[in-house]
Amino acid sequence: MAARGASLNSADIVLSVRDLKKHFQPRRGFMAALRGGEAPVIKAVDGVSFELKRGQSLGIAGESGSGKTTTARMLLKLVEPTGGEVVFDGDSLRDLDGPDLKAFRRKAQLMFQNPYEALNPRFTIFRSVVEPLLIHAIGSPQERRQRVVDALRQVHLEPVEHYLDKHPHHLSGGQLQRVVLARALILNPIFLVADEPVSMLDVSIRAGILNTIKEMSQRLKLTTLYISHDLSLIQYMCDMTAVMYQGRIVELGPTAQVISDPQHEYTRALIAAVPMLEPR
Amino acid sequence: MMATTGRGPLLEVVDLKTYYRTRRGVARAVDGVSFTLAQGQHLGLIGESGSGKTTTGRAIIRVLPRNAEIVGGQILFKGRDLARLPERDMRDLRWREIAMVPQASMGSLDPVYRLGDQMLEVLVNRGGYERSAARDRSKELFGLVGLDAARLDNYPHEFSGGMRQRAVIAMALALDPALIIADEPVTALDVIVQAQVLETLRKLQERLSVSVIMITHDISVVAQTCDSVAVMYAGKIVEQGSVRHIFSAPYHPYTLGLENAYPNLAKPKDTLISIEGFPPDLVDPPEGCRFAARCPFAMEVCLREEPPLVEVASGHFVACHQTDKVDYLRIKSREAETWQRVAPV
Repeated sequence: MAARGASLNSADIVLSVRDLKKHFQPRRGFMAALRGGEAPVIKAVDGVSFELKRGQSLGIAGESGSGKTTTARMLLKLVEPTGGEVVFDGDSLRDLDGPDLKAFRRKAQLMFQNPYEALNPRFTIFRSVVEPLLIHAIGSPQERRQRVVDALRQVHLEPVEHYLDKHPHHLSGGQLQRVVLARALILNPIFLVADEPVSMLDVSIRAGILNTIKEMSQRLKLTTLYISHDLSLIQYMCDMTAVMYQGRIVELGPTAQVISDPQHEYTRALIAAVPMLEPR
Repeated sequence: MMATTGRGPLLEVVDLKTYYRTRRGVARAVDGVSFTLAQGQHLGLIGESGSGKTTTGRAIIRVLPRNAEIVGGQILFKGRDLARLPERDMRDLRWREIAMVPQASMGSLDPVYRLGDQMLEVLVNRGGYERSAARDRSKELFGLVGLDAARLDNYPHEFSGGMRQRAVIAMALALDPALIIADEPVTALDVIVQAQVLETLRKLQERLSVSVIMITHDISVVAQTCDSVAVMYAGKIVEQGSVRHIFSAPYHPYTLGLENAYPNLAKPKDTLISIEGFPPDLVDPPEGCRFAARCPFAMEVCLREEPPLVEVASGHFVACHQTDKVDYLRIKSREAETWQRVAPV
């Protein structure tokens, strides 16, 4: 296997995706069964390839059904691909098991869309954020507590003591999403996937969450993948933009270029559809 | 169009108060809201969750949850006060005079009936149409929202999300209502479909003289479809006026803050700025301005006295004690440090 971990420099490839595919064979309905014949295969993801360097951020834009979420799930080994390969930090995800898989689960994290559902309502904030450390048996109780405190401070939930013993229902959506971020970062991952990280939050506080994710990604040199239907969010957050349509990447390039000079017809349609702030 | 004569407003909401009974006490969700709507006018009601925008819309058409009650004010619609109208008369008004387009979802259409049959039910049972006339009207309505009349034979599940939402709009238009209340009509839709549905709404505005109250958290939707805006915060209107006024020359610090918080594809900003903090508890709202706790410009008077809605330009109203310093507020509000004085959300 190639060099990995601490030996990586900034030019190293964290994620390499080659011809990734996920096809679903739908179950035939009763009528279809009577008529006979095979139900058509649904090609949710149909040949996706890209590479991400350490510290890079990629936004995947596309409408629902375009395959962007399925792609992300395969990158996190939550869904097994039908074809193609994902190489993460030097290792093919296909072969990962045992301790290697567990190490992968530490290095790659997911930030969920809905902060109200991402946290166990019966857990205190401390318990939710310490959970990954417990699962991976990291540190002594004192060390774990310190790491939780540090993590909450980094996402600007201060004074930290004010939050540790609270339950999710005491917190606003924005505060909860900060807790979700703290939990995703507590294992010092190198790769973070954020699936519509602010779509459930009020516009007035979205910017604060986005700025915190940005700040943390830069500080930790995280490689990040954003999934969003909102091109303006991707423009704000990502160096690179991929536009997905019907399971394929139809356009991929530096964000500024994709938005100012779109090459694919679908990208142009997507940009034209974003409501502009100017009154008509 | 139904008869609406004269130049007077179609709808006049005066000091509307709608409260919820909760376990913790009475929540003053809508607390003294006033606005007028002319025939053909499209008003955007914007605000974050809990601002009272949806409750205001639901109070007007009187479809409030059981624990909510209109406790004060008037809803004058064509000269009648809907706040005091018996439910029987109100039932007569719904669909015929005031229709609602709910949030895009499967939920607003009956999955077991063909769309044509659902349309027919509204037209025949509510509108007193003959069946054959109702069929013609259904086709006309589908055409109006850009749907193929042949699709009237389809079931809702055979429609895409955008088509369903257009069908819901067609049904709302069925009996030629004077007012449509659209509550986040495009929120659940994909961006391209959203643009198509907004385009449909815009075309209707040109062709029909129907008035619309568009309830949304998305200021860009309002910019695209409305001619006036009311910005709600914590149960009150803090700023209202023409779309042009509000977007080009906002006064209220909350409106100024919203502009910074919103990414804009056409004019990308280096930094987006949040309005830190969160809205007050409506069971025990603070004295004075309800935005004061999040407002970087709050002064002592803001904590003490509730600012009245004053007219700063023709038809442009603002509830803020510092409207005289607006130039300063506009400059300062663009700086990130200005907004960092409050604890983060």
